[in-house]
Parts: sequence; C-alpha cells; structure tokens
Amino acid sequence: MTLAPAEPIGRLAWDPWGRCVVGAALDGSLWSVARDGDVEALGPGAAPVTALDWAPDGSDLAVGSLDGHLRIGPPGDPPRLTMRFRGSVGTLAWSPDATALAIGAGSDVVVIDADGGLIDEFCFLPGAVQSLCWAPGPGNLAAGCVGGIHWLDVGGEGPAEPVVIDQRAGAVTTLRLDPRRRFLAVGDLRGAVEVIDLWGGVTSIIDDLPDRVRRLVWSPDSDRLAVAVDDMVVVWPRDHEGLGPDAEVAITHDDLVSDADLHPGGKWLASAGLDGCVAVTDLDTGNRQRTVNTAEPVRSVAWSPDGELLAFGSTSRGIILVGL
Amino acid sequence: MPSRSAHPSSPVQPPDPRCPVTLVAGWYGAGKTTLATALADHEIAAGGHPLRVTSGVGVDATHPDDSDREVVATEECVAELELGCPQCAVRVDLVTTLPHYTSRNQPPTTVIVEITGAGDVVTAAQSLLGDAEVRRSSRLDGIVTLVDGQACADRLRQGEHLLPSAEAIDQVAVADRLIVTGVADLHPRLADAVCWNLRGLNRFARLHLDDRPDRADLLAIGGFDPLTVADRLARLSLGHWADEESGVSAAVVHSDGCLDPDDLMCWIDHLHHAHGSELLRLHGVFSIEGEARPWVVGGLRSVVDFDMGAAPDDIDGSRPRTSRLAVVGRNLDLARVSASFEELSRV
Repeated sequence: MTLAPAEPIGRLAWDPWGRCVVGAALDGSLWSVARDGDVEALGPGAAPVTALDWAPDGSDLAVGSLDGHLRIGPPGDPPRLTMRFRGSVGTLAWSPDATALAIGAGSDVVVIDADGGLIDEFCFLPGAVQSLCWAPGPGNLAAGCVGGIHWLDVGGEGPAEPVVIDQRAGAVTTLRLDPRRRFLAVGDLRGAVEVIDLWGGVTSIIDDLPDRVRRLVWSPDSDRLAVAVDDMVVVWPRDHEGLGPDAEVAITHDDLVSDADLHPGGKWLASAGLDGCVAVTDLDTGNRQRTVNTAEPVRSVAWSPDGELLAFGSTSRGIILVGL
Repeated sequence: MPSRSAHPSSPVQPPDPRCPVTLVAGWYGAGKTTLATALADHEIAAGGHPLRVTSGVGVDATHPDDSDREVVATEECVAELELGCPQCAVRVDLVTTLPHYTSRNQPPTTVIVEITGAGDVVTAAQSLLGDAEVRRSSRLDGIVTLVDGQACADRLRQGEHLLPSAEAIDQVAVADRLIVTGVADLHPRLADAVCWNLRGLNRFARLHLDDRPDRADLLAIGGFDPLTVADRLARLSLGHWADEESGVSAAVVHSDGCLDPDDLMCWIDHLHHAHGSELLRLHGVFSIEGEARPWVVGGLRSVVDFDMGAAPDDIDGSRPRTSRLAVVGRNLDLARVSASFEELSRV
C-alpha cells in the first residue's frame, strides 16, 4: 500500500489509537494512511514540516513548519487553530493530559491551552529551541536549546522564567523523558548523550559518539535507551546509576540512520537509514529480525501503538506500512 | 582529533550532484542582502531554482509572488548571537534546515546563505563541510565576503584597523571571493590602501572592486572542489605572510616526494592540536605513497574533508611527485608549520 507525494516523507506520527499514520513530505504536504491502506492527501503545505505531534487523546494533530506556522485540528479538516510565530517551529510537545501544547519557535517557548489561549508566552532561551519535554510535576517543562537545558515552571505565577539545569558545551539536539518519568536523556550536537536522574541522583554521560545525536528512544520499561547517531543505533542498558558502561546492541547501516523507534513491547528496534534500509532488530539477541530494502533513502519510521504495523516514509513511494 | 567528513578511498565522482551552497558574509551594511538577492535573480535568469537562507527573524519564509525562489529565515539574530553560543546557534539552524530542501526529489539548483553581520562564517562553513547529513545532499561551494570600502577607508583614516571586529577579520581571511564596494568613490590612493590591507588578510581570494561583480563567478567558485583546489594551489606562490595587527597569518608550503598517509594524518592532527580554533582554513594536495591520485584536503577549523584529486597526466609516473599546502590562521607559527611539513617527506 503506497502513496506517491512529490517529495520524500520526512516525518511520521501515528494517532494514539493506531487508526492511521500521518506523514509530512519535505514540501510540507500532509498525507494519511489508515490501517486498512486507505490513503488520503490532507493538503499541501507552504513550507517543510518540522514538528508533528498528536494530542494524547487523538483529537487534534499539531503541525509546525519552518515558516513559523502552527496548525492544530483534526487531520483533513480545516485547522481549528492557526498561529504564526516569528521563528520556525522547531518542536512541539503536548502535555500528558492534553490540556496544553508547548511550542518551541525560534528561541521562544510558548505554551497554549488546547483552545489556543495563551498560558505562558515569550520565554526566551539563548538560541533556537530544539526539543521540549513535559516533566513530572505540575507545569514542569524541559527545553533544550543551543545554550543547554532549561527548566520552565509553566502556568505558575508570573511568566515562566527559564532556569538553567545544565549548561552544555554542545547544543542540545534532542530531549527524551523515560516512560517512568524519572530519567531525562539529552543528546547534543557534539555527539554526547547525558542521562539526568530527575530524582536527584547521579548523571551519566557518554561523550564519544561520532556525530550529532539524531534520535533518542526509551524502551517502554525505561531499562534501555536507543541512540541514533551517524550510521548506527546504539542501545544502552540503564541501571540505577544511569546508563550502563557498555552498549548492549549496535545496529549499523550503510549510510546515516535517519530515524529509529522501539516497539511498544520493547523487544524490537526499528531503524531507518538513508541507505534505503529499514531494519527490525531483536534487542535480546542483537539479530536482525527483518530487513526491508528500498532503493532510496528512508527518513522516518514509526511503530503503530499496538505494535502490529511498522510505517516508514520513503522518497518516492510515500508512506509504506508493513506487518511485523 | 579533527573530525574527517570523508575518506579518500571514496572519491567524489564528477559531476557532483549535490546542491552547491554559497555563503555570503560581510559586516553590517556591506550589502549582503542586495548581493544575495542579485545572485538568486541571476540563478533564476539562468533557469535555476535558488534557495536563499537569510539570518533574520521575521523574514517571510517564502515569497508567494515569486514561485521561482524560496527564502528561508533561520533563527539567528544579533541578540541571540550575543546571548548564546554563536557557533552552536549557527550550526544547529543550518544543519537542521538545509536538508529539508536539499534532500528533496527536486532540490534547489543552488543555495545562498546570508550570514549575519557579526556571524561566525567559519563555523557556518564548518558545519556545511562537516555535518554528515548536510554533506549528503549539499556541498560547500565557497565563501563570498563583502567589504564596505568607504567604511574601511574611514577606519584607516582614523588610524584604526580597517575592519571593526575579529569576526569581520575572519570573514575576510577565509573568503574565496572578496568584494570591495564603494571603491570607485574613494581617492585612488585610499582605495589602494584599503585593497593592500585586505590583501594582507587574504592573499588567496579573487578580489572584485566592482559594485556589481560577475554573478557567475560568485556562484561557481569550487572553493572545496578537489580539482579546482588542486589547480589553484598549483598556481600559488610559496611563502609566509602575516598581518601583525590582527594576527592573521598564512603560508603556502611545498614538499617533494610522496608522503606516508599515516604520517600525514598525524601531522594534520598535530596541527589542530597545536593551533585549535586559531587554524581557520587549510587546503592541501598531497602525493601519497602507493596512490596514483593525490589526496586533496580542505579544512575549516577542526573539520577536514578528504577527496581524491585527478590522476596525473604522466602515465609512467616519471614526473616528480610533490605536495603543497596552503594554511590560514591566527598567530600561527608559520616557520614551524613549514618546517614540519617539509620534514614529512623526509621521514
């Protein structure tokens, strides 16, 4: 079941119920593929989509783009809310209760409620915001930018004042909180991964990776962290002190790894590469369970929430779904 | 150890299908936006589809009235550069923005990146040269730096250095093309003084003293193309130069015979360790033991790019093999660099 937008699919997002997967092509157009293979063109876009995130209740899809536009609404319908920011929308994060959406646009962090009402505006960070992550506690938001990791108390009295919790030498490229909401993983431009224990424990750092960290993925049990960097995905076990000393599994591609996703069951790791290969690896054995070779770069991969389907975005054939 | 973005065992096959990227730098008011727009117009007139990346907040992401051209605003602005880490800021924006366009099935025919007035052009260029994802679909073609001749003349008259900051000096020192505007309005002797001082900072760039230089010469520089680099290096005179006031120094050095590849790698590593970020740019063509084709090396600060040069035209290998290196930096110990490089072939 394939679809053929004019440009490669760059990002994918399954709706929380696993009914369909939405993909954004590099020209900004949005496409949807249902589980049964029905394909729908959701409309053209004016600029490349840089952030795509479903509300946790599946009601809305938030789409942010390089031209600073944010559209929120059910996919396929006219957006019920459109906003324009002065910088490109680099990252989006719905709060776990779906009541608020944090937007990183340029160097601003803006938080709106689900109806578009402003909660906190213009919290300036010292550089483009690359990643946002809601952390435990009411209104706690972690933001990663070129200047490090900042902690924001959203919705408190007065505007959110960023508190630097980690000033980094390298710009933050991605943040990911583990499912147990205790460990915050941080990847940076210089190839370092840091795991911060939000309960106040030690912080562990791996700083000898060969390239910028592209993706961080926690396993559902929070016991593993997969790091996509350069042409490989490296999986580290987590112990009580953070990341273990040695990597468990390393999956290599013949070209850059563009994306990686862990199966909801935690056993399989899917990785996509610009070598055109989508690999499913058994993390217990390190063996490849399945490999799909396409002749063109693959830029995104995502498991359905029930783990039965794997979606990946190809260069000329749109969104492709495969069963495990 | 410097990061190496390619290995010479995987030569780039001409013609290079990747999208060329030209960086346009210059201090505030030098005319960068005017030039970037003119370059885009030139590309459109030639049937191309350019992408112009600007450095200001609030710039429209696209010009809907002009479907031939796309304009992208990156997030860098003066305030952020002052507040944050300008090197990282420039890098993050460029490396995350460019692949959205250059990885398309129909990518732009050229990319023109306008660096903020006080922006660190070396870091921007370094990110283009060193980031694996960016390199996959685009290639750094060259650095064009604009200089306001009138402003330079005013500073010279006041007994100051002709450029206002270290960033502006770097922009000139690493340029492939230097465009000095407003020269026609200067007294000839003052114009000569401006050019002479600029030449002290950069002996290698092609100098344009016309306010409207040939656009084609600015869009097909080949500043990091192995064949072009080898050709340019062969024409450079050997020697050392230094601008004492700014500390910018440069050298072109030569050695006879073939080099051991491991020794060369160690030498380049040592060069980076010894000089760090003071090493701004280097290019070299190296004859290597056991290799028919020379290695062509281009580097910006800690990023070094290796390619294979053209096969020599003497099939029997009768012509003596030589190596040549051009290096630009700040406060470099040029005598030591030269001596250690010449020593390489004698090891």
